[in-house]
Amino acid sequence: MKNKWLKLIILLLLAAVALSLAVGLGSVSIPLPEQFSILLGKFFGTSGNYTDTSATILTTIRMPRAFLAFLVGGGLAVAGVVTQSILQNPLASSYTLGVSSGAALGAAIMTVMEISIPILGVLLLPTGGFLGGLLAVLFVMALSRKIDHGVSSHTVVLIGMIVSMFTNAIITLLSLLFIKHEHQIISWTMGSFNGKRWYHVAILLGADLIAIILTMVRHRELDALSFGDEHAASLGVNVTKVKMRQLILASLLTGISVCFTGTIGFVDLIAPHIGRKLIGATHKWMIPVSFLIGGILMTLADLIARTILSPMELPVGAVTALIGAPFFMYIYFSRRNKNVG
Amino acid sequence: MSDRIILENVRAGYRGKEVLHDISLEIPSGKTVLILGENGSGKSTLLKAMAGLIPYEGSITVDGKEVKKMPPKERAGKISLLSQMNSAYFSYTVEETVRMGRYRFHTGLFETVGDKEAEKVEECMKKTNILEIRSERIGELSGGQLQRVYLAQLFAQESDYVFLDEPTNHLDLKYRVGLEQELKSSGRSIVAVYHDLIPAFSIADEIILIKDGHVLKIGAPDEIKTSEVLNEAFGMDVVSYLGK
Repeated sequence: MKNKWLKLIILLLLAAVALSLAVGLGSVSIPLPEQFSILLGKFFGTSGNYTDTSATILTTIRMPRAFLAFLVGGGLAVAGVVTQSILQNPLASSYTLGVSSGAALGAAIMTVMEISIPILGVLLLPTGGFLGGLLAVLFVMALSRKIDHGVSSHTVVLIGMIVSMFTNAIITLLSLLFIKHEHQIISWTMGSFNGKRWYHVAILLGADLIAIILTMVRHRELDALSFGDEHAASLGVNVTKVKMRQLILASLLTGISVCFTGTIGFVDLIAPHIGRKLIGATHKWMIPVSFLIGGILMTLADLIARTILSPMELPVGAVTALIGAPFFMYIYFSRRNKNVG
Repeated sequence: MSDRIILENVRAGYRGKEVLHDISLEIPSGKTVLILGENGSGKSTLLKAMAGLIPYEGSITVDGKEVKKMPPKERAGKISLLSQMNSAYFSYTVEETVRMGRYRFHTGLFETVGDKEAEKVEECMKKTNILEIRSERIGELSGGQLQRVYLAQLFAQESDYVFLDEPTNHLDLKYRVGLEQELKSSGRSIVAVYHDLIPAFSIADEIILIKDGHVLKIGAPDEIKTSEVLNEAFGMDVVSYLGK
């Protein structure tokens, strides 16, 4: 137990380091002491040794971007934890299940149809993303059940991939048919944290908090579900209700992340895997630990995307895929050999 | 009527295919009742239906309450099931897995495991001889070890009725005999699907013979053992085989 707390604290420190690097590095370098003086200046009006330009870069460009990357990574990782548990499949994730591309399609439809629901305001796109993601996962599950009665891991992953590809094709089609929105739609398919503001951070923070708390509350049910639906039911879990609720929460986490930043794959697959290796499979620990790992990975991936070919910026989805795809193959084949995740 | 399981005109199956046809029977509490029959005769389906894990038509009551209407935790207090196909998808430790059997007792969100709870889990691990491997990950265990872990989880659930689907599968002889003695002496209500006929007749108080989703006969082991119906259930001359 003590050991687990220690690991959690180390991860928190690593998260702070990753965030500090992400806000400090770039075309204008802002070292840690300067970051502190800027923040002290902003909050307490103390004077310090920094320029207005670095203050603006830090607080209006880099900080919201880095925090958003962290929250997206953490949220996607928790969504991954949930989908892996309820499908008893360490290869499942929002990305491999088609939730991400469904969410991107939902947001794209909202955009090209120029739908406006005043009461939703800035929440319109997140709502589209959430609904698109949820519909996609429900479709994948229904189709998997129809094709393969046992709903095996491989079937679900395969159908998820097919639905993803199909959805992406529709997104591409939409981008060609609605040239006016082409740039925004294409950027969703690759993922980017460029130009994000504090209100994006605020919305995602709210959604992450709600979804993660509601998921933590069900940590025991997620443990039981990891052993299969029947096993969980015989232990006393209300399987249908818990699964449905958790799938909705996972879609919420993914949908909102995706519609702000686009589809970014593999973090939701890798973070839970590292989390499980680090701290074991119990969800009471897995959820916070995977959130931190996902946040750290995404923050660093975005830092790489932003700086490695500077001044050119890579889509962050490309960075996560470059690292994630070989990792996915590694899990797939080591699992086939060992048959355990 | 309480203290027993009663099935009335039960039909159940999977995806539109009916496996159990119009089954009516009674299982008294406090007894060891074994379900015997050929592969595919509907033994496991019967256990799952009685445990409320698959939908059924007709009525199944446990101690006077309809199984499908019971809230899941209440049902888990009445019935626990060790099913045949148990696998380990994620790397929980043995102790964590056994502790999951206590799920129905948990009400708070993050209450720490009290001494009494820890003792209970320990006791169950001791009973199935897995104390030494308590910190090992279940993905690394042998089939027999994993089976004992799930048995410990089942004991931890402390339900009134214990359903076992071929519990001695994967078990070495010494553990199999140990389990059979444990079942016999526990005084609990046990309903088990059993593959091995010879030990089945020595541990059962009552035997339910099933063929093609119908109940052929229910009776005491001695009565069943010499009955021609036994031959019908298995499609061979089991009576003379057992007589030898």
